[in-house]
Amino acid sequence: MAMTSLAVRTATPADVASFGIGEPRDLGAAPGDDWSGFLASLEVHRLTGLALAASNAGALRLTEEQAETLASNHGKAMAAALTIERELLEVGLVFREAGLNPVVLKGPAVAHSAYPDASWRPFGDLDLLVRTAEWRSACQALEGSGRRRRLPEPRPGFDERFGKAAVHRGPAGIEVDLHRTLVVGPFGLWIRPDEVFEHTAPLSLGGRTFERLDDTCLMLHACVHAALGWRAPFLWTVRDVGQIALMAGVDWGALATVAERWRLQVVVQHALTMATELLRVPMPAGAETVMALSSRRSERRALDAYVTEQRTRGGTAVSTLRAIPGVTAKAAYLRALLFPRRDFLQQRDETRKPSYVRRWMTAVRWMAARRG
Amino acid sequence: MTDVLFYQSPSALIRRVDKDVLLASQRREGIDLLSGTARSVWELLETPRTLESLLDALAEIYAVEPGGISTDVESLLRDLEARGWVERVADGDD
Repeated sequence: MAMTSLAVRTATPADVASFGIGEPRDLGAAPGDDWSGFLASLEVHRLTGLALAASNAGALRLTEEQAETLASNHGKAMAAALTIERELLEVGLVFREAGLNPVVLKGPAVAHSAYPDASWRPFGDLDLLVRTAEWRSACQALEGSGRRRRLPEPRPGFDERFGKAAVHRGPAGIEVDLHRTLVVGPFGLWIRPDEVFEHTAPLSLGGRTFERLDDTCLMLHACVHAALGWRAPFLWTVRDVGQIALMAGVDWGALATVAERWRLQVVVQHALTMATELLRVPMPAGAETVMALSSRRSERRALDAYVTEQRTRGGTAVSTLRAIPGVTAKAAYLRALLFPRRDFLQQRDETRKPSYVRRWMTAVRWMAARRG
Repeated sequence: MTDVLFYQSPSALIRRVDKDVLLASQRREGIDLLSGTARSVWELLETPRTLESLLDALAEIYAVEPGGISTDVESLLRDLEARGWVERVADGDD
């Protein structure tokens, strides 16, 4: 007599990350033997909202106790998101008084414009993009409102030439990440930051209107964040790619044009491949336009500096150096890396006495590791 | 109160979490949590309603007589208004 085994499928965080896009499917049951580990993963990958929605839709099976814990923890994540949105309203006023109009990036912008319910997308800080010409005024406006810059500029003029962003922290401890471009390193240098402001759309929040990236540029930035943000991507960044690709109004032809202009073809291709594989959903037909783009060796090499072991061996700094045009500018970048201001060194590692030798030894270790 | 329309304040920052609604605003510290009837009232005011219309809708949801809940609902509305989550406009105003 044939025996049928009825195995219960155990859901993974990647399964949860795929909820609500593509064909509806059963994600299985949360692991009973490692519920705390599973919940911790959902929190680290900012998937508690998707897990709760999947549970309410019957796609993810949770015990009553698991569902209660998940709802409680997700409530905390949403309280944090609301606190950040309140900070956005306050910082928005500070910038308006300074005559500045920043673009809201990532968390609040994606949650409110790409997801069917903003509670599906937790976030942990506030990211704002300003024009390079307005960088100093924006930093001063934040400082003037009691939001202190966490790390000083490594050397005078570094921010506008090579910098990506500066984190400011207010009295309530909320971090405002002020951006000048979308990513650190070579791709950040190839992007034309002031052109980003040509690709915006309105974002309504708390009775006010801000600027966010339009759906096409939102997609581009989601790809940049997922592909280059961390060597091993957080699942919410990959979900953002899938969410925006499948649910927002991306103009794929325009995306291909901008990606080529800013030398981001390989980045978008890498992110789309990750989203297809991790979320197990096919990307829209329009994505083929971007997947078919060719790229230069220098761009593929730059991508490797972010997504391979090179990243832990100074890969991003080396590839930035390669991407900086001109010997004088390269020398200025190198000088800032090797001889930053002493207060930069001090605040970068407050537990130890500032030391140039220790900093140089890091570079030596990188070189040794690259040769080894 | 019947000539007045009540509606969700556009200045409220909102998150729906399971059976609850979390609300925050720039005007006040902290975050409020609405559940049960308070959440129902809040959700119904997504489109402006008179008190009478609100009572009728709640009576249908909870299978009760509108007259039996009017005192509690008026008190809840006052509280939501005081906290800045609900605003009012005279019916017919632009």
